[in-house]
Amino acid sequence: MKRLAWFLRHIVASRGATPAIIGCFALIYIIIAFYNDEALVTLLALTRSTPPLAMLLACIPLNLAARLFFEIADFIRKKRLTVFLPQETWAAGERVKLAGRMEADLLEKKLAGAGYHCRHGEGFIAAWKGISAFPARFFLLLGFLLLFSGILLSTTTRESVRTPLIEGEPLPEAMGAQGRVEQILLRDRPGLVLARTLAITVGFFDGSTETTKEFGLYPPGSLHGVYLYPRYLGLAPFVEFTPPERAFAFSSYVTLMIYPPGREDSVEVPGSPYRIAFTLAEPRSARDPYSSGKYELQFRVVKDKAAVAEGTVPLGSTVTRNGYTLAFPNAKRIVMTDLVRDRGLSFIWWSGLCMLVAVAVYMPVRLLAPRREMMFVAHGRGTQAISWAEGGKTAHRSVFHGILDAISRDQDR
Amino acid sequence: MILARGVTMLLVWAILVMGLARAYAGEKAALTAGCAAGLVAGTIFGFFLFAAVPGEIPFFIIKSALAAAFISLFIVAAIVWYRGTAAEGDRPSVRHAVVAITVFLFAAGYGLLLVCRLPYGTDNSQFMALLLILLAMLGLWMIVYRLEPLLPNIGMAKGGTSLFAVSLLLFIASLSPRLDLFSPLSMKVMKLIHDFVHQFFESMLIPDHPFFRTDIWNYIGLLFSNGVGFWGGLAIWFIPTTGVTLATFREPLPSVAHVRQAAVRRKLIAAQLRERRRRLFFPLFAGLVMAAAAFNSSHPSVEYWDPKPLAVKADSAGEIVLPVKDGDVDLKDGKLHKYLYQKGAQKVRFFALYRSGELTVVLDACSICQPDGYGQNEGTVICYYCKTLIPLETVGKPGGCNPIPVPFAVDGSGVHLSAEMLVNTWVAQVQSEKKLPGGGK
Amino acid sequence: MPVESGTCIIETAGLTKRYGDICALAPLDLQVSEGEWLTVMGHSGSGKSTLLNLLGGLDRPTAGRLLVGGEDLLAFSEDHLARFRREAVGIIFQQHHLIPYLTALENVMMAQYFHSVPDQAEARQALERVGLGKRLANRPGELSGGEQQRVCIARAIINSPKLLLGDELTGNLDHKSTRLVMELLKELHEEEHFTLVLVTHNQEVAGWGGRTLFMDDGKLVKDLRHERKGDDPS
Repeated sequence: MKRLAWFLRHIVASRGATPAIIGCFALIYIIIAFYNDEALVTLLALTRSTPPLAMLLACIPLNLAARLFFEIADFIRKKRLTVFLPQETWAAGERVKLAGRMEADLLEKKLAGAGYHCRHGEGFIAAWKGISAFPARFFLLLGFLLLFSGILLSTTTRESVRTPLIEGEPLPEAMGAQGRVEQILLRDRPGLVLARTLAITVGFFDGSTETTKEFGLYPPGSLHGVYLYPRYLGLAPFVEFTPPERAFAFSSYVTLMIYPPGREDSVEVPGSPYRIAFTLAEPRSARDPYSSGKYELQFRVVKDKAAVAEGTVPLGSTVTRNGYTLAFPNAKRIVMTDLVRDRGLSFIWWSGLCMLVAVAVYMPVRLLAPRREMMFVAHGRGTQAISWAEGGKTAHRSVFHGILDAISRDQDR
Repeated sequence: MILARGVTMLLVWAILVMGLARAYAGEKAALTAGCAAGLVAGTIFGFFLFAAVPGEIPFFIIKSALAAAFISLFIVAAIVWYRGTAAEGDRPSVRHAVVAITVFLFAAGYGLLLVCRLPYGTDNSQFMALLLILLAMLGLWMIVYRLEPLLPNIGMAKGGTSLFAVSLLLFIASLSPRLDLFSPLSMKVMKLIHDFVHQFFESMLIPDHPFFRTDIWNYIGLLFSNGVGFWGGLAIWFIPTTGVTLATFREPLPSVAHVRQAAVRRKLIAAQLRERRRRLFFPLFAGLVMAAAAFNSSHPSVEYWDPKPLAVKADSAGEIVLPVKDGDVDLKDGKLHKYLYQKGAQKVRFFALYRSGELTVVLDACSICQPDGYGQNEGTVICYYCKTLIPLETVGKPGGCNPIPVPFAVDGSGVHLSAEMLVNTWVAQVQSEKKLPGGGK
Repeated sequence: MPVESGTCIIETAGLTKRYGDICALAPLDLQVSEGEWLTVMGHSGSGKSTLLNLLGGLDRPTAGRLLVGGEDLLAFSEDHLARFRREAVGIIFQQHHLIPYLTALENVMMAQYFHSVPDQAEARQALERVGLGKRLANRPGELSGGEQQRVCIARAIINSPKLLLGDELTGNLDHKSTRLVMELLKELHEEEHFTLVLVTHNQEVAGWGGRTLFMDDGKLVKDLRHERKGDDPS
């Protein structure tokens, strides 16, 4: 049992375990980087597919959880020592045995004079000043625990499928729900970080009831644990194309990833030597065409690698160039979406919050009122004096030493 | 040139021996034995390596060994961070052996680098130079041994010896672009930062740049800016020395609470502070040497063949034709020939090179670095941005910091390239044109 | 009563100081025990300040032997002598020599700085001990002569010297302030057990010590042991 406790305390909760494991991964990264340009992606893939590596990564949250547990236990024990039970002594800081016994009243007066709060019990006086940084430490450790748990879960269990969501079309099967994309709306609304909002309104049919739900940009909306991660925008114009020979007429919605304006995508006209390349023309007004719905398509008809016609066709128009006719009566908006099932994501979000709290707590406490403690315990005929400080160490040490001198002088008299 | 090399090597040798003598004062026998054996072994191994293994492989082996030594500094720094730098009391008797082995390794590393720094040419000139340098080193050694006790009382922090010796070896390596570690490190760091940001956006489901505010996106763009590799590399380059320095600073002083006279306590504290300050000397010195190495690496003294790009135009079919021989220009002369094609505002630089008996055409940029271009020297081309040397044989192969290859055809009239393909390849693959992290690709 | 262990802290043999032809201190043989309170009296130019300067390592003798705390000051290098002054001796001058733009606390901390490292809490305690707990942040110009002299005493004792030297330390003080300073010195002398050598013209100040040397024209003319004034409860 003792051995198990020792193992838990010194190996599982070791301070060096997490840095050592991170060091191992860094080393693996370096080795991969020697041979491969995509070292990070390769390392992630390797961790996902190699159980020993995943287990090594899992040791980090395990270590952090153990550290968190032992540090909480230590804090509670120390707190009890300061306030209630001076039976044990602290490991850190200064510790000294004095031959003389203290004069309790005098000592308390001196400690109070130096701005310390005192508490005395049978055979001990404890004094403290300032606020402990432990809450910050707690949040920091918790933050790291959540972060690495999140990374572990995300790396090993993330599933992602890329699929387009098209206005007016049924939901893709991968979403696991029956419904239809009602509307896709892009608005220019500058926020703190993002300049636009994107609202994907989805209607669900659940037997007899019909409900709608809106999915945004960030934080991404989710459905049954699957996040909708909008990657980029596209357009599905309804295109009618007739070549001069009029051998056929092509008319269909075509899915084009042509947003933002200037980006090119093309479609092969089936059963013909034609390919039509499209670009969204730069808007004439300041408003984004995706927001305004006023699209203008620049097209280039390519036949056997040679451009045979090019021009611009606004929404609702028909254009003829070199005998080639292109009509653009209608368009649907598309959002190319990753459907991501990632159980680690929320852990990582929470870890960010915990770390922010840790910093917000630590900075003022450490700068303005760091915790400083000392304790004087009757020990046989002498006094055991212990001192410990999180900050302001020099001044605290000086006060502690001054008080020890005073006890000693008092004894000499 | 050779004289300057020799003087630099001798100076480094003097500093190395002086530092080691100070670090292992009282272990002179082990130090002398380790130093002599290491130097001889390293030099012989170096000669053997270069004689037995052809091409760039010896450099690769030595560079890998240096990289391992550099990585080991991180382990040293981590140990010091957790254990403190205070010198321990008397150590057990294995110390002689440990000292001898440690010094042997450092001296062997020095010997290897010495061989790399010797002039190329006939064996006789190499041996003569080596003999002269070895003789001078012997003389210096004796002088340093005499001078060492006269130096001020500077203590060696734990970990300081490795930092000191390895930093000197890295400094020597930085003098040769083939062995330099800092530039490849910068390149890898830049790639890591790019990959990390990309991966972070993907992992955290953060939307792409079209949705971002421009000002915020510009801040994120700093991570893809020109200097990110250099500054990131520099940060990693200095982690071991900074780590040991900070570890020394943050080390708690021994308690003086048992002393009952304030002035005596203060005096003890002052002595402890003095002693701690002395321990900073070697980590700080190593930091300076590392800084010098990084400087060398960023300012290589070698001059590169880098002709002004020749402007070319595409014909009506969108084809660019480069004649193999046109006046003074001979594409098969083994030198790189740079060209510039411009369509609208988009400029594309590329070069043609004749190597290993055939022509190749590549962009004057790689897919990792900023497109600062390439220069040519002694069987290699160098990426100006990250200072990586690429052997001529591998120019035309994709990957890493190799120039991006482009499809081309050679016939009697010359080298034929598609202008559209050139522009597309440049836009799609060259770093500054990509809208990282997620989009645009 | 101060502890007098009988150990000699000052021992001189034929100690001489000449400035050219002028003999500032004729060969002097003197033994001072540890913890003793010695007063040196004499007219101006009698050699008492010269003696004090030699004892404090501020000046070097022309001839003779001078042991302080068993150490031969003549054998010291300049560096060693400076260290001796910083660590083993506290000196209080008539003119205070406080740094005018530093506070009382900072003046005391300056002595700590030259000795080892400054310690604010300890410096504060020292000033509290000399009754200046409420004048810590005042500059010398804002303090009375007596208060300034007390800052000097705090500064002199902060490094726990074996030997405290005072050169006409009450020369600028009125009767009341002189008494306050002397009472303070007596209290500190009893607590700290240092050896005190005071140079003065003032007969009243001499009475506070247990032994008085009378000097004239560079020579020791009388060495008198007597009752200490401070021991008298009246």
